[in-house]
Amino acid sequence: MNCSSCQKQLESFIEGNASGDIQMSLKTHLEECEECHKVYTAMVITNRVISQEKELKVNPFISTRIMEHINQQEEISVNKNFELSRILQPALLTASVALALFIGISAGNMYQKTTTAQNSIPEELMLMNDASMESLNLIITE
Amino acid sequence: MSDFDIIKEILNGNKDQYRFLIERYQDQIFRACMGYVHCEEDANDLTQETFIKVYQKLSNFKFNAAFSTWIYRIAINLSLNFLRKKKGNLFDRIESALDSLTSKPQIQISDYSNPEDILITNEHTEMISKVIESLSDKQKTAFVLSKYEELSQKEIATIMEITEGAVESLLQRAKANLQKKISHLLKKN
Repeated sequence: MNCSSCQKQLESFIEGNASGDIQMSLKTHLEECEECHKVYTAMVITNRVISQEKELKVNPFISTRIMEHINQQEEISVNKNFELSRILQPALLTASVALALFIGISAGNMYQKTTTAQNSIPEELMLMNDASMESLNLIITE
Repeated sequence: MSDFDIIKEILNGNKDQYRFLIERYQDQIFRACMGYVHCEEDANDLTQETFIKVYQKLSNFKFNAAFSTWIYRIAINLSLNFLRKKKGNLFDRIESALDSLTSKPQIQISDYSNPEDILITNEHTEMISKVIESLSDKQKTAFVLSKYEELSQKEIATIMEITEGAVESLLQRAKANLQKKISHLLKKN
């Protein structure tokens, strides 16, 4: 058996799935070849370390911890919203009162302007002195 | 009760149902996280972080894919981010540099012929975790899902959103890299 075919079959050998003949020839090769020994050892160590890590169990209280964290986060966000609304409420009230005043004043000014514009007397007529105007009768009689 | 039914219940306001989802998937997620970080405490923290993130994003879950696929993807992303941050942490790098200067790992293997005779030490565990960590993100993910979670190539392909052929190739390269690196380290000792 050469190194290449040995290393290809190492996985099934370690898992115990190799047939009897292959097992024998692999064992013989591993005893003779240091390079393949190293690869074999590397694979065994890797599998053993992974098995050890897989045996570890998750913290049994993890679901309680997660649910507590979620509840806390939701409480914090509710409180934050409440705090925000507590600060924003008077500010919004003041702003709406100021806006209403501004709209009222502007609307009033617009109304005054339009009414004065409609009823206003042309400037030339305003400057005219009625007293100094000649009577129409005088012109006719003349 | 199926995953989808539980999710619908939670989205309708019955958040206590989330506990059932946690209990259904906590072991799988913890094992996957262990495959990346090789530290019980960190794996527990990552498991917790995964479930919190999943809860926060639950309204984005599309019911056309399995919940397990979605949760695995989130756990994988968080684990890879954790490793990147750890790698970039200056204090950790100084600590590991000091460790490598002061410690001389003694790897002794008495008999190669029988796997039971090979004594696994803390140095071995550390060596394996470092070698797994040195794999590329894709190789690492394929390896962890295959070895730690014992998922089929089809399931891994769905989670990683790649073809089954690509998974097979990633696994072969990951195993070859691991064998090469570990046997090289054993030679040095």
